[in-house]
Amino acid sequence: MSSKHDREQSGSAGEDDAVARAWRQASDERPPARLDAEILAAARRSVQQEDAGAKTLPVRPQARSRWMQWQSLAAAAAVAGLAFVLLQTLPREREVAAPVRMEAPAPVPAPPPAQAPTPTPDAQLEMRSDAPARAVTATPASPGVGPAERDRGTESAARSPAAEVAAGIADSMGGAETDRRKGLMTEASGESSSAEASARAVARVPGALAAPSASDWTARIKALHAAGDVAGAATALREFRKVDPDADAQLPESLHEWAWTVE
Amino acid sequence: MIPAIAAGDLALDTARRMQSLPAEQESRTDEVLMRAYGDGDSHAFEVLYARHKGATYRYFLRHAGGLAASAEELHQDLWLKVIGARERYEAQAKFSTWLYTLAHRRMIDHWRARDGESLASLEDAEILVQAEESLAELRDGSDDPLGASIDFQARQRLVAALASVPTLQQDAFLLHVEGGLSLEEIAGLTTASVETVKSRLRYAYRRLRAALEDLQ
Repeated sequence: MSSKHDREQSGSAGEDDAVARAWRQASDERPPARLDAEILAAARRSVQQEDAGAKTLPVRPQARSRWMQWQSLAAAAAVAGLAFVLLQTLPREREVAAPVRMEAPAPVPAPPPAQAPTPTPDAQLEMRSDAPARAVTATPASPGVGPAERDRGTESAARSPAAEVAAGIADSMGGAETDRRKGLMTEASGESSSAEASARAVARVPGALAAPSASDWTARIKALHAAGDVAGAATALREFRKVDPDADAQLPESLHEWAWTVE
Repeated sequence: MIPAIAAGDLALDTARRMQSLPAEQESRTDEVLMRAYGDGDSHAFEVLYARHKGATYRYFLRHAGGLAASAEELHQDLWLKVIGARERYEAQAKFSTWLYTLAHRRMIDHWRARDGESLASLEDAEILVQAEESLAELRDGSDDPLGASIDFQARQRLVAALASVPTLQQDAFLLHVEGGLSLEEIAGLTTASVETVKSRLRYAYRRLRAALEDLQ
């Protein structure tokens, strides 16, 4: 049975080969030349298109990469713009907040309306330096200066006396004179932090101001004299005499003897 | 723009160049040629096409029942697919196996589009025919029916006999004889077992042999 099967198998294989051979002889159709040409043309076209694409590829990716570069630049610019806006916004908030904080103690030292434009020399000196200011404020010649302002002046002196004097005076001044006075005060603060230099600078200020009163003059001269600035006090006295011929009489008695020595 | 070339001129041009192709190119394997075409060597495709065009055309022609128009359409579709896949081609298998896998899939699509036939219905038909063949086998003798030479009448008879073979058997036979694929390769691309393929082939061969016997 098995031998018959094997024989059939081998015979079948041989027959299959013969059939296949016969088939190959019988079946020899080929596609028409027109079809061959179309297919080969398509094959060439595909290669040529790829070549053309390769030639244009350097342009396309470049354009794409350029666009990508622009995109990133645009994004960076947008971020920078936002950051700038934020930075512009935040400092403004600080600036707004700072005056509120600084102005909180301001209502306390508000001077009387008559003396508002020109701070008294006492007050200026009080803010300028601790020791002389205390000496001056011990006298009752500065009615416009309250304890609160004295405290403020002390705090300011602790930081930068001359600058604080300039700032204090500038704060209390108004109108067109403000800038000039600020300049003077800044100049004074630039010269030295010593009391004498500050006093000299302050001494020039009233001359620039409009019509100081007699009490202002006397207070100023007294302060300069007490500070040891005899020359400054003499200069102030001379100016006072120009304004008021009776200047010597208005000085305190302690200065009368000294005033006689001033020509 | 690619200049339009008349089909006839192109065919002549192709034929001339095919003749002048160097022997070195002719000796390259299908896989090497396909890779060369993928790299932009259109002459490699010409060699490859010349090698396989007859077999693929006949594969479609037999399946199309001898209708040249259908065969040409299917044949063109197949090779355009090969052209389109040239850059993606990877020689993981024999080129002919890959080529006939594409051809087989195209054929299945054609059957579905033509008759709404499914593979299941084709297999049902195959089972019926196998049963008939089994009965015929019992009746047939075992003497060799084939002569040494095949004349024109025998060719016509063979073609007609294959046309009468069920589709899946016919497919296995064409893949085996025209495509030169092994049983394992046919089993792989038709997703059938090797035994099934062997069986399909056996019945196809028997039908053809019977056709030739009638000529004796």
